[in-house]
Amino acid sequence: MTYMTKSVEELHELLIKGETSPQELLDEAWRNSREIQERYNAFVTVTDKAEETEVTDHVLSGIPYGAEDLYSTKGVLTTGGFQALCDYIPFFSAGPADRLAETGAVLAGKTAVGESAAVRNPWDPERSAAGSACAVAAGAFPFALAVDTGDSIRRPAAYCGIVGYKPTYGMISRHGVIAGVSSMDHCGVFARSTADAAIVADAMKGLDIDDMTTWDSSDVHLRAALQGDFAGKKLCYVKELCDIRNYPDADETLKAHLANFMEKVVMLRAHGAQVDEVSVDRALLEAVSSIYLVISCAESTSNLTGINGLVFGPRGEGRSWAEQIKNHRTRGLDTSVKRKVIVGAYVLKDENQERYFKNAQRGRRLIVDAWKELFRAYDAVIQPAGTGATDAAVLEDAMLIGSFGGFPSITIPDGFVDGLPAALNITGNCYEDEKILDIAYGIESMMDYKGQIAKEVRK
Amino acid sequence: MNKFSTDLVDLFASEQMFDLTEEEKCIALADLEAMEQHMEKIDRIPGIKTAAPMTHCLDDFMLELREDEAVESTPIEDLLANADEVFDREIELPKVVNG
Amino acid sequence: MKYKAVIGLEMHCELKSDSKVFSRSRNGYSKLANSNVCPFDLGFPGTMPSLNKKSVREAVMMALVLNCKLPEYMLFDRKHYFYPDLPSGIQLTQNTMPVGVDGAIEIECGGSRKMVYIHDIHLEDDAASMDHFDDTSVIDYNRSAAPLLELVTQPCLYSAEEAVAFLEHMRSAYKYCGTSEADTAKGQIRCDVNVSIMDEDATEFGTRVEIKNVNSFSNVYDAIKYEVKRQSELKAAGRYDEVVQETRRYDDVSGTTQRMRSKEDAVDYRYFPEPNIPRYRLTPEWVESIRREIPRLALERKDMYTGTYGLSEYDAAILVREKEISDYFEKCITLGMDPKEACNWITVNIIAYMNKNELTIDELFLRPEHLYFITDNVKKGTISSKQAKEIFFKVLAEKKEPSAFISKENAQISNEGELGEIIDGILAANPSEVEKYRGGKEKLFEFFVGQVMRQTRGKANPVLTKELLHRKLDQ
Repeated sequence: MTYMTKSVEELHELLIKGETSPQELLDEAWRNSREIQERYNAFVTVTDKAEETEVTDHVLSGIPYGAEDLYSTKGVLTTGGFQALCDYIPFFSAGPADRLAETGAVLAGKTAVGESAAVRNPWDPERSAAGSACAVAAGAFPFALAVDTGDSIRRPAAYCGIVGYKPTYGMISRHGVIAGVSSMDHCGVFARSTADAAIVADAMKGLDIDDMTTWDSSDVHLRAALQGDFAGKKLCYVKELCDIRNYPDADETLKAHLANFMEKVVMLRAHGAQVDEVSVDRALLEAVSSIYLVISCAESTSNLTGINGLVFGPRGEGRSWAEQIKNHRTRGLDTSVKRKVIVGAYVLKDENQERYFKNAQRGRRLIVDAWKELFRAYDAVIQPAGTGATDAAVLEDAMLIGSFGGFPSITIPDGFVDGLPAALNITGNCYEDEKILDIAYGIESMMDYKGQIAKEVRK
Repeated sequence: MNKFSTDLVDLFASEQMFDLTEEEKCIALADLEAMEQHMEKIDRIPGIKTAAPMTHCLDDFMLELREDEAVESTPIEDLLANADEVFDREIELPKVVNG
Repeated sequence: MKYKAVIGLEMHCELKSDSKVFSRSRNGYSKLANSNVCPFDLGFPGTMPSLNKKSVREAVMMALVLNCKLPEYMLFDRKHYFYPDLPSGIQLTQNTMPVGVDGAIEIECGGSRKMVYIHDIHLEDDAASMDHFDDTSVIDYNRSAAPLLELVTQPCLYSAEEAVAFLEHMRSAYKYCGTSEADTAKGQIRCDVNVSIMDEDATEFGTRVEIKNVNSFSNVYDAIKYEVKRQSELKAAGRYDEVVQETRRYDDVSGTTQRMRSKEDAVDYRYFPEPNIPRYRLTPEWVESIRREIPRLALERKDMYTGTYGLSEYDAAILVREKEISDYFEKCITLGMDPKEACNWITVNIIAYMNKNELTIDELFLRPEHLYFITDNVKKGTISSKQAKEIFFKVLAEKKEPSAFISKENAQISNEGELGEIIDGILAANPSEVEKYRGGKEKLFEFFVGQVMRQTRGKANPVLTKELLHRKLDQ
């Protein structure tokens, strides 16, 4: 019997009935994780011990899960993806991990950070993936935590054929989550259904005195909000992103993705939703990735200043403190990180800030304002997610807008192109997580991709 | 127009306290040279001159500050558990010369 | 050749609170290293600032004291640099929008008044502290993330005396407001001093030299004196180009300043707003409620004591040196004591007793109500001045209500009828002395007084006794 391919609610029922036990689930999660590590290199750590858990009324009790290695986990190696933290074992857990522990969910493994070439996509090992997305898609456990900074939950979710949900900024505490871009980091979740994503976010969200950006969401009940009631919902898509005529050089894959998207638009209309085509200034869309680059490099540079090897991480070699820090950073930060830091140092330089960093922040505001304008008329903006098309940069970059504005945003699988998963992203206004998840739930229910497990596709 | 040089890359690397390989320096230099194109894209946004920089993710945020209540100090064993060089209750390092 | 010195000050003051400004660990001195710390203080990954409302309140209060313009909301900036005492490489401060800008405050220096103009005042956090051994240093994070308020004056001070007068004024203001212990001995106040010189009639400032981390007011004084002399001598010798814009340190052993780094070595701090602290709106209601809590400060009180109460400059200065003493004095006045009398009791007796017993005025058992009770009884004639003093010390020593020492036994006889009867008896018993007195032997008056005192065992009100004797003998 395999359990880890089931949903959280199915597992809970089996646990309550006594047909399986937390230990049996954990053993299977560990076994799967080791196998997935072997095949796809999705893990930093597969845990080998866990406190005994009881099955309680909480739907997450006894359910194994994974967490991206950015989440501090008490007593378990937490590298944040940095060589500089290769031996760091926190003595406290990240806020969301603590909340999950309270429900009785069990940490089965720490997954590779971000989208990495080293992690293979379980649908097509030739392609890359994110650790948590790979593990969930391949059936290691029903869900995994991750951090969405630009689109790093919602995009890997798309090409791994699963659900990726990033709530409104500050709904889930970032305390103890290793910082990337503080103004855009969102804790979120990979799952194989909207319901599971909602359950996990319900458990993790809430005010945290150690994260001042958290807000009181005690009146938000995500799982309970999933009614699938579609009537009267008003959606829109941006013509400049989704119309094939914007891409004269489009390849077959992009054409297929956009065609798939338009099929879904027809499907939604058929179910009674209003789906309008709207227009946004192309200049905004074309600047999205540049804005992201400037802001993300700047804030990363800042957040990385604390990597010095004095209190944690291997101490650098040298005869002075400066030599030691320099040695620690030279060895502990890889080329891609150093590149970001150099760019960040440049755009933040006192005499450069106005032209670079602040202009990027101005651009961010104008784009966010444009999206907020859309939300005045529409419940959500939809778009195809993770097409992987290099000739449709504006489309690929558009999910970054969800991070710019702190908008709740969810990606769900919506078909296949060339045998690989295609996906739909739904983004709404801040604090409207219930509505966005309900829309996603409704759309998910019209299709047959919920709960799918990755199968390697021969190309 | 050659606004950037490896000297600038070296300066930034030294300010940010790491060394770069020659290869890394070339990559970083190319990254800096690409910045102007990025800024041109940003400059084309209508209204870019007058917009207020977005410094925080949520602008409509209602913040309550915490009350002044102190918590117990973190146990010293926990604090120092990850440090490689420790003397008694403190992090130790080569003598820091004033300056 | 004489030049004008131009001085600007940066004054860092540690604020008083239970928890730190950006973390929840305890804000307070501890001998034991790393005993007031939490993960944020050591920069552990994923930790974020948690702003203390009390620190913001204190910062707002001091900005108001300095008559600064307040921003619409609190905004904090990250300031970046690498140094072992800064665990996260980020100091949180207020560069973009300080809690107060463009302030001004009147101080007193050498008997005259002077306005000092404030560039800004901003809230930030302290760094860790280090101890140094022969070959190694160690880091104690107890002070990391503790609240510091930094005020920056305009270059508007023209002598070491003015600079120190301003610092003393601010130290007093901090203590009056209760926002800081402001104890230089505990390192709670640290100063950077900017010094330049210029010709008396010049309109442009000279080259500015910054002297960092001067930790006592006397060192501020000495450092300014030294630096003005150094710069003046160079200028007089035609070598003013040797005065360069740089950072120097003051060495209190040699009494000199020495170069630390030149302007060219200045660090680019790459300030930008901290995204992890959302803007915190300073509502007008809250700001007003804080304004209402600001007590009257020393200089204002001193003016009132010399003006309205007619006290001497000297006495007024003693009364306002500590807010607690000044409050004690004012309470006495409110109760109805004569200001001069209250001043005398406090400056002569109370302060001497405090010093001798190493007590603060709030630790004394003798409250203003007690002092009032004692002096009121003197006024009513129930006790003598001499008795008052005895009772005063008994109250302090035995920690008992003064009424416990004013009984029937020792109460003065101030009742005219009662005392009159006693005197009548004495006059009747000494007819020949009465006759001699009336015949011109006035010296005998003291004999009658002595008789009254003997009979009443000293309890007769001396003033009343003399008055009645005169009345009865001289009629």
